[in-house]
Amino acid sequence: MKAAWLAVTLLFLAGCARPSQDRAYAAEVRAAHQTADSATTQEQKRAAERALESAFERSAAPGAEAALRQDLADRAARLELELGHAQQALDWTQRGLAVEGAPDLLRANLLITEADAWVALGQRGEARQSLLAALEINQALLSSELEEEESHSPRSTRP
Amino acid sequence: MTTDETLPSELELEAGVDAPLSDDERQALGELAALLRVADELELSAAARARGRADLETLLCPTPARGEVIQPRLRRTRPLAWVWLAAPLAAAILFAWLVPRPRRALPAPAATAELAVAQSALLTAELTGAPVPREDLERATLAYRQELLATLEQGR
Repeated sequence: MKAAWLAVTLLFLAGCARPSQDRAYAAEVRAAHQTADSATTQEQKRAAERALESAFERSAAPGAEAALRQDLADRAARLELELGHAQQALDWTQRGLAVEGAPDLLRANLLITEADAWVALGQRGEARQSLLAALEINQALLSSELEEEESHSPRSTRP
Repeated sequence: MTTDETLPSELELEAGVDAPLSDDERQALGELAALLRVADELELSAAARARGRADLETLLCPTPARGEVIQPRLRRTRPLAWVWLAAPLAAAILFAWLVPRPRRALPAPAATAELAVAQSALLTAELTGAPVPREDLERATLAYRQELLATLEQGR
């Protein structure tokens, strides 16, 4: 009996704790991006990448958090490219592309960054493949956006 | 020795209900069982048993006799939910509240469309050799990121 009430209490507390966890995660991601924004020296960029990586590793939830993780990976890859580490940038894009449960939109961003990393590595053919993959995703997104826009716009009345 | 003297005057529980019986208790209970075994000799008459049974049935599940009206307040009713049922019920409600909760809504279509258009412009430029509008993509990505963060912060 006591165990049942304890379980109910724990469930209730878990439900209450979730929004605060989300806010805490959002604050961590925001802080990591701000660190990257203000990073100018190599050391600062490395510190920013560590902050981005910490935020990237901390969540595995789908939806908005997964999209944020893809964005974190893309940002970290960009930092690595700025530092001249093309291979590490490529590794970051792979980590971002491996995130599941995220929309395709930021996947296209990662493929664009991946193409830049391939270019930096002198692999233009691979870069082109990445760009084409990004283009394929982008075309599908634009098509669905157009369809949605048409479905929401008022129908023109024909005489 | 009379029967009353053989019955234990009180039962003492030691260390909970599973305390072993002492020799005295075992002997007292044995004598009580022996007394019950001879209860058949003291059996009630058939009429008395029928009367008792009828009384019991009336008490447990009253059925209105012809023309009889049972007062609702006098009818015994069962509780709708016992406490031991209330706990799992509350847990089920909480579980339903927690588990199928929809995942975070993705950003509004405005930011999504803006980013998709910026990506399209950049990809077209990259593949055709035109000047690459990198800043547009960064601006659109930033706007999309801000909406993602707002989604989490507002608990949507």
